[in-house]
Amino acid sequence: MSIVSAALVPAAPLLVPGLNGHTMPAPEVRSAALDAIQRMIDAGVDEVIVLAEAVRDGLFDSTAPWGLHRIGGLHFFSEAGAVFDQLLTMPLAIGASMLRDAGWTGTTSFHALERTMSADAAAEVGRGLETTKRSVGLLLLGNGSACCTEKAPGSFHPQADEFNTNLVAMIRQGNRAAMMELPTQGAAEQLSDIRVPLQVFAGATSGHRFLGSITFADDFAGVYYICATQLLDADDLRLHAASSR
Amino acid sequence: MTLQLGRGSFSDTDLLVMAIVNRTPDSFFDKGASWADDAAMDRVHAVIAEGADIIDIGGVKAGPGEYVSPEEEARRTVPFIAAVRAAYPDIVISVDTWRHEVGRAACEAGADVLNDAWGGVDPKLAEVAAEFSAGIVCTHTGGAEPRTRPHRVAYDDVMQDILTRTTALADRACSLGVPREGIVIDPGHDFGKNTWHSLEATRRISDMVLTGWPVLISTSNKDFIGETLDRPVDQRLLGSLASVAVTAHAGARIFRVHAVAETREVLDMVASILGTRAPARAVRGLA
Repeated sequence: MSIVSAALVPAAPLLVPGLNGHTMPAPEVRSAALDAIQRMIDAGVDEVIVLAEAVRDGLFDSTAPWGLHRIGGLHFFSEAGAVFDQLLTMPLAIGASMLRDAGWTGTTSFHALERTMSADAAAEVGRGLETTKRSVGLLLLGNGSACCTEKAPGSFHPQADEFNTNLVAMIRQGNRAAMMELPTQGAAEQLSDIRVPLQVFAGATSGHRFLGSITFADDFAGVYYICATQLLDADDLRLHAASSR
Repeated sequence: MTLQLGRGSFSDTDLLVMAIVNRTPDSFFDKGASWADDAAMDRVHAVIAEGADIIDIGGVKAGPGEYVSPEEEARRTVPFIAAVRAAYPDIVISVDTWRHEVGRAACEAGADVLNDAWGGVDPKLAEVAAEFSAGIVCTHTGGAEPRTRPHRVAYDDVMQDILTRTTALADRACSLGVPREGIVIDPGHDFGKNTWHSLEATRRISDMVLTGWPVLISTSNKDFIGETLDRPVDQRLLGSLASVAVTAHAGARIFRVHAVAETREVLDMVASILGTRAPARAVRGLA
């Protein structure tokens, strides 16, 4: 298998229509997130692997039920009668809902990644991603600092701006080395949950060239959202196509 | 259950108004209106005249902000508690604190109730309540640290979590020797909760009432009301009063509020609807 594309979107409950009240509070973020997912899909993927930080590791397949009742969304379930203790974690459920809304119905697997995982361990997870499919897209869920303003969930952190600027630069450049150097403690202090998914991406795509593009990067309600895609470089893509004939 | 909050004894049908008096320069609603000693005492005079049963004095804003040491918190609250006690020997005084050092000093100055709004984060606070035979408010925060905001918090069943945690705190206080009739539970609106969670806690408040512990409601001007009605902090009175009416009708006993006169009137109406208070005047059709 080969990773041909990736999308990065926030795992923010407020991006789920209905869960955020009568009116979408950040429609531009949701639009950019769905656009990033669409670009990932349009790269010709035949499987999507969804990656998000969690309290503990977990692996779920396409049939895993999901629900958003734990954050108050009583009527948001993938199917009636879902068994609660088998539900996807909240960030993965948000990923599932956005994939659905982007029109994706293909094979999907969901990886919950322990948020304290080291960079090396995350890269190892990336190298070990297994699938029977030929062309895979990664959906990375997470945000930058959640400490951008005084009213932010984590209140203001003086290093928030620097953290976000670095994050945007490494994602725009597809700089996997920089992703691997994202600090565990620093990300935790910023209430950022994107470190481990980015490092899994770095491990999974090592040795290949990716081109990054960002469709949204700004803070909303004190949380820095980035919507972006990473697409396999055209030359690498031709090599991949030739090898899979 | 009959309430005994320090020197204050209340019957089963009393609906009590707990008036907020902030000794802070930066609280979310009044933004320092009672920071100065004179202003604070003026507010005490006013809220007692408006029908407050309990004066709740706090020295640290609930939200994130500048660090306030226990010494500074005590400096803000304890002398003022002593002054209120001197002025009103019979009024029930509560201190809003999570710190046992502050709670102890407050009780020594005359406080009757320890309003533990951060839900047992300092386990010694309940020991202080027992030592002084003070009342204690056992609040649900979902395990949140003091002065933090919720960030994507999740509960399998928010009311079940509220019940489990608050009754555990109440049982522990009781086992430590806090008078049973002085223990109160509080669902902790907005604390460790998003708006959906706080609405559900309000909707299911009767589950808390059914535990037998008296229930305190602290919804006044909070963000879940602002988000629900899309109102800024200075336009949440009607939403606050609606939450008071609904929870009072469901059996809650104490209402911690900024707007005392309005809340008193709502509670009087609810009490009359419940049949526990006669109308002020009943002439219609009776002449």
